[in-house]
Amino acid sequence: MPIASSDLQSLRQSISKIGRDGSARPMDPVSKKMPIGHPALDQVLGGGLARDALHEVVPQSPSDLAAATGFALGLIGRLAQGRDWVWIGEEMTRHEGGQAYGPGLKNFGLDPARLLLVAPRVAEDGLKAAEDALRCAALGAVLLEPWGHPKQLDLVALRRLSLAAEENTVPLIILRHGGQSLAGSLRTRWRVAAAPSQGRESVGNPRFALTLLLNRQAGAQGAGGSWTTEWSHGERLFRPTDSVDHLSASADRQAETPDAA
Amino acid sequence: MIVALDRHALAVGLSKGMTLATARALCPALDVAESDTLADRQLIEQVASWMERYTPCVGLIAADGEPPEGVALDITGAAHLLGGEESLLADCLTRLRAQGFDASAAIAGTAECAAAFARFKDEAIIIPAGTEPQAAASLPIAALGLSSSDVIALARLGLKTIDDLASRPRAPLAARFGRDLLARLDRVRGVVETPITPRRFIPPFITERRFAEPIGHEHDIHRTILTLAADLARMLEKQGQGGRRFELAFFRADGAMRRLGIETARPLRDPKGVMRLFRDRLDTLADPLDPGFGFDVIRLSVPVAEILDAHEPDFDGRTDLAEDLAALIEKLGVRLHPSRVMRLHAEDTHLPERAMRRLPAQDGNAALAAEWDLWSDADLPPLRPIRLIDPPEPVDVIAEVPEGPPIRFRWRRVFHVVVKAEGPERLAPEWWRMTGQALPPTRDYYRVENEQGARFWLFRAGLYERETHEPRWFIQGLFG
Repeated sequence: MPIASSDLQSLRQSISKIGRDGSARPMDPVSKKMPIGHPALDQVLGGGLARDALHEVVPQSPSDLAAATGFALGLIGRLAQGRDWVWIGEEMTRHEGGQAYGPGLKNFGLDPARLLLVAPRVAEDGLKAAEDALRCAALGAVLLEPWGHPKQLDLVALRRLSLAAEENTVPLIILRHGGQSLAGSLRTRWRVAAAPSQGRESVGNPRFALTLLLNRQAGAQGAGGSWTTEWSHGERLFRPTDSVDHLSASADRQAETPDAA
Repeated sequence: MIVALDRHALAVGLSKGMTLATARALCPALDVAESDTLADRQLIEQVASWMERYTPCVGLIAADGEPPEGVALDITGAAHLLGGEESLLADCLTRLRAQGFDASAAIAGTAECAAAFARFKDEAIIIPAGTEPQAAASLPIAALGLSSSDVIALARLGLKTIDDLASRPRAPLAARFGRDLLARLDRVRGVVETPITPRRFIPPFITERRFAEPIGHEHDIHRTILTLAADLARMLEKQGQGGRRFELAFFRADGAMRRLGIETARPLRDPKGVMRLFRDRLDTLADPLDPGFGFDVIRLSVPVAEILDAHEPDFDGRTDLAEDLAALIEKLGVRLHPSRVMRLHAEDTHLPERAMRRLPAQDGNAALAAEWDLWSDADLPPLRPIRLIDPPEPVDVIAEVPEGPPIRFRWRRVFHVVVKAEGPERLAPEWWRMTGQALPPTRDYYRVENEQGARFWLFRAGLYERETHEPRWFIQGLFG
């Protein structure tokens, strides 16, 4: 383990050195991406979501905050891949939207023991904490949840954050509670609304109506689009809903046919 | 009633315990101030803190059941730092008087002896070691700190000084006034020593710098902290220890002192690491360090240390990923406050708001994945929300039947039409945890989905007809 991590470390260092002087990168950019599971989406993203960049997740309406949180957590589940991750939630967000709930996270397919929860009092503290976290290469991902539209989250701040994310290959998901879109170094921006879950009677797995508003991914295939996706916490990936519906429909049909044996 | 007076008032013949009317009659020009025991206490605590500049072992002197009236310092091994006992005493008195105090002080083999001299002799006095019994002979009986009735009773017997008492046979005295009298006598005469009870725990590792010329520049302060940290690192290394808590104390020449503490997530002794944490702390102080005319003593101590194996730190400052994470926790803890950097821990209860605890990540109680096994079920849709609304908020609910699922509800002024509802999941109050309080109502939980697909966690408090006729509804969580 120490050998592997020091190798990783030296690799990371050499990568960041190369990145800074602008020369070509030795690594295939695709390997810095994490497929999220939904084939059409991964194609548009050019192979998956970038792990060395900033991504903004915005709820479509105030009632969609939980859906936006769910989508952001799903991305974290994909990106962190079992490593520790940080959720920086400004104090006000907890009062307005509820606090991160361990049993629910576990139900959602994330390991609550891997979460480092940070509750800064004000936006400025949150921003500094995010930058510190991004400089910690041990982390799998960072979730920043500012309250409203903090003026500190400007071009310069986003640039700093994106440099830190790039140097250490730690992705930052910015979960908004509304307000204007951020302007600056974002790789993608998502608008998320809740979507009815599968089944007429019972409440099923979480589903999201996604709109990709900004796509600056390397090798992006298209500027954006809209999809509905289901989070499968068992497999820890996003699935296209039609395949789920199709699968379960065929399963229903199979169930209807009497067992030959 | 008079509780305290200054030397001018004493000179006119006033005394403690006199009523104000009597005192006014004796001295019409008397200046009176309401007694404020809290402010007195704060002042003496402040003086005591500042006295730590001489030695970390500072205690308060108080007669039985009385508020403290003085400060005792254990200067064993500390006097030479200030050029001997005489100059220490002079320095201390000069500084206290410069701050406006009418102070007196004495140095002796025991705290009680020194306190008695400071109270009953005016000049600053140093009792040479071993001569306390002879020196104390001329002190009045009052120096023993006895109750006034005992003092009067002794006076009636013609006993006015310590010597009068000390030359008497001990057994009859003990029979008449109790053993306590003899114990006090021995302590004031310096025959028996009781250690000073320090106000604060004395850290096992201490190092300090004294400046003839007080320093105030940020650069000088930082450099001093770094050299102090280097001193400490050597002390810690010898003992195979690392600090979990570090404390800086800044003493100003004018009587102000300021303490700054940092806590670390793991034992630490690398001076640069200590410096970095203090620098972060200094940079983020809401109430910045005010050097005034400068600090003349800066002390760094380690109140809490733990075993740290002697492995050489990496020179590039990075050892492995776990260390990186510990360093992050430490840094955020210093900047925001350790309680704002948390780990989640599962609790063995089915009451939703108690099923999780948020504990400071720094406390070293690493979160364990196994704690949460209860909540893993890959086959079912999530049964618990990702965001918990704590405390639950009341909602207006319309249900078809009082014991049925909600059809519509209003939360924060928004109407939601329920399309799907699953439940109830009945959570009974944990009566075995309740002692002597009324049992809270049973809760029936529903997972509901509205027309748009948003998912909520609602519960009805109280079983219809069995516990209540008007069950109330609450929202406690949001699903992804």
